[in-house]
Amino acid sequence: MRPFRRQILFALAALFTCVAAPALAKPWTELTPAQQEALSPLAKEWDTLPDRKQRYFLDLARRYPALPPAKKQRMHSQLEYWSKLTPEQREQARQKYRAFKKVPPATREQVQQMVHDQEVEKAAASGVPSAPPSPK
Amino acid sequence: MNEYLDIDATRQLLNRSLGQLDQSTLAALRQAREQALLRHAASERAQWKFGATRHPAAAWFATLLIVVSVFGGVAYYWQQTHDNGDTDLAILTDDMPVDVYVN
Repeated sequence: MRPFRRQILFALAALFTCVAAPALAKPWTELTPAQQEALSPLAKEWDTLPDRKQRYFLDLARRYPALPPAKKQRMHSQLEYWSKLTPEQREQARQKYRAFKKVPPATREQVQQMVHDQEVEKAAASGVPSAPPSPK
Repeated sequence: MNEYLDIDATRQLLNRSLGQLDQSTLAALRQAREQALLRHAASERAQWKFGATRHPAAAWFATLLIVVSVFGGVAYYWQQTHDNGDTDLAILTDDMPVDVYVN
């Protein structure tokens, strides 16, 4: 063991640099203003989220500044629901999303219109106005 | 030839010879013995040290292999995560509500 101590320490240091350095979980108050803005829908529950989930959302927050304002708003409106999903549900959503992207554009638009109409109906029934589709 | 040697007889012969040796010879023999023991101890230490780094190239190669494997695994993991991150962001900013993809 002893002869390899230096090599093992070197390997461990490299592993730590790779795994831990990119995004470390932090309490809400230690997030940067940009991260807090990106993750504002999760502010209340942030400190209760497991480290792994925090790192996941910090990775999303890293991409947030590059989004156009309408997409930022859309992300905020869906982020809380998304955060409550289990990893399995998120994986299922990814698979369905990828499959849906392979559907011909005309069919996709029809489906989107149907879903939007349903949302409008639901919103009308509940008395809350539905958000219009965001521009692509 | 060795099979004809009587060990006990040889030992007695040597002991008798030892008794006939003068003091200066005995002192020289003792000194030679001590020097031999010292050399033996030094040789053992050197051998241990050499054993520790007997194959430094192999040790570093093994380390390199481990590090490359670890880096490869981590790179694959991050690539997967990154791909998922792109998809997740697309889902979150899509016109379609998230629950459409979940249910």
